[in-house]
Amino acid sequence: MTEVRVKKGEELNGLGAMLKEILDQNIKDPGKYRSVRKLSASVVIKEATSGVAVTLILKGGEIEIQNDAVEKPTAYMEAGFENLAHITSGQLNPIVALLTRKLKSGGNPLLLLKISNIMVLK
Amino acid sequence: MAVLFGTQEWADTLKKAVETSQAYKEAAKNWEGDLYIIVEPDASYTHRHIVYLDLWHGECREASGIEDEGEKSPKYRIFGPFTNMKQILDKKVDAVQSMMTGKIKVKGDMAQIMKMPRATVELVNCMTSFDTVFPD
Repeated sequence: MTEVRVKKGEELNGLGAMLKEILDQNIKDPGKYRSVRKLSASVVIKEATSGVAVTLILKGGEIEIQNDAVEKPTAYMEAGFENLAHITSGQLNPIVALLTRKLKSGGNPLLLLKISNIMVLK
Repeated sequence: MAVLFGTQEWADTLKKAVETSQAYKEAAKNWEGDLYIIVEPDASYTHRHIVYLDLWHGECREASGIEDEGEKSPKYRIFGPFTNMKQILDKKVDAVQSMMTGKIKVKGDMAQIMKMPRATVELVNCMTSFDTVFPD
């Protein structure tokens, strides 16, 4: 897989466009891609201040991104722009962010840990 | 006094605002990269304006109004339709919110923006620290 697919007919919101660029960079790394390749899940990522959200759908080795939050995702995470930026740029450890409540999450925590492999630039 | 967007005076005013902002200096101390701020025409405005900024480690090395987009090859482009850009400059909407919703767009090395999100916020604060008007 060379690129995260955008849901057909959608133009990604700004949060999605930013995340897609990071995800695209990360999945080029075979090790990182391998860590999520077998996942079958939906993960909602929400920017807290604006309420803007995107959903990642992982299925059959493919990753698709779409605008807005799906109902009943497998996991979700929510943070303000600066904290999301610090997490995705690798400056803030996601676990530390959770413990300090800079990041709110729900659903399967193990899945979020795996997803962080492709969401964090290292 | 309000300054006309896209003019050299606007670029100079923004340069001065950047140079005097301690918050920007601190947030952008590792920032390397020039950018275009592009106001695109929409249903309520027919003109296109481009302002060029060369930002380097908390300093603004150059600021100018640009006629031809091909004149420079900046690392970043911040662009959006007139109505959305004006709302930001008039402080009627939050720039980060506009960026998240896609009302304004940013093209360039997102990794650097993610490393220094505060730099983006403080640059917008500099842009809104003086009144802007648009040519008719």
